[in-house]
Amino acid sequence: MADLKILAVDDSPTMRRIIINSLKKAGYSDVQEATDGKDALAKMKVNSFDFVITDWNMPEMDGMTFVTNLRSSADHKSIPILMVTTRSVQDDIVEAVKAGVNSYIVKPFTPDTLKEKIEQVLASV
Amino acid sequence: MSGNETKDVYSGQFSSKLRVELEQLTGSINDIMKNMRKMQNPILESSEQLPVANEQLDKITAQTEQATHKMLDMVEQIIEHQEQMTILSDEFGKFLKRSRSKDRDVFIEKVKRINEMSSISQNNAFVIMDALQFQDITSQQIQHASSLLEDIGVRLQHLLAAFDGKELSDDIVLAKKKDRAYDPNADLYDGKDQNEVDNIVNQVVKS
Repeated sequence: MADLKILAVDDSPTMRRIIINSLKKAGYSDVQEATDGKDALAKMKVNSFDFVITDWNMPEMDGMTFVTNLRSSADHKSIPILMVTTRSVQDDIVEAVKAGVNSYIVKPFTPDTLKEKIEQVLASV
Repeated sequence: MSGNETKDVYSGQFSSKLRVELEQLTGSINDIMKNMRKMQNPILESSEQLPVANEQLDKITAQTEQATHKMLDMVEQIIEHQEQMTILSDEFGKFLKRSRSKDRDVFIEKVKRINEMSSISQNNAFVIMDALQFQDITSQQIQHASSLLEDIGVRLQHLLAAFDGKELSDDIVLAKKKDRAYDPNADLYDGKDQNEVDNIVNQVVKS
């Protein structure tokens, strides 16, 4: 668990900080951050990650485009992805899962929910 | 009166009626134009005020974010101090277990109580941190409001261009709009319950 390398992608510095602290509480301390999908893809080219947590609404490259990119790439097509977003409309959730997201959390969330979802995703892949 | 003379009389009456109608129409158009010219200045002023309103909204977002980060600094410090306190009290507890003091058990209980209180404080710090997610959600709501104001601004610019008999090019219109990423339905309290979200996810996965 402690060795899991996580990439947290969110354009909000506040949310990145909250996610990183929640991950630390859950026992995951190897976390890197990216400000949007484009930045995340650049970081994934030079570093390897075991898990991705991503927001949906971001400038430059949004979360859905980022997820589609990962799922169509040979290197990252099976990396576990957890989407953490304010978007709670049913159609959005369906669209995200169909695009390849493994699990979905609606903001605001608690550290316990984040931990639970990561564990569920890891157990299912 | 011959047929042609009758025609001339009717034609003359018709042209004078038409003339009166046209004069009234011209008068109405002139009145409309006067009123539109009167409207032009307030529209121009409103259109100039909109970017100021948007700047204020951006300032609110930036300053709320700054204040939130100050609070996060403090919360992180509290969490770190609580972790250190737990380590220290654990060491103290181990020391007490080795001690032969007659009050040993009383102090071991006190150390346990300190650890319990420390754990509650740490959880409370995380509750404060969770609540600070409001900043991301309200900033998306502000982004939405700013985007609507920019839309109004563009429409006013179209109207002002029309007053001058011009048409606004798409480049100018697009330049006036900032690239904003937000969820128009972002809400701190009205989001779906996580159980509902999980059910939707499970249904899609099963299908």
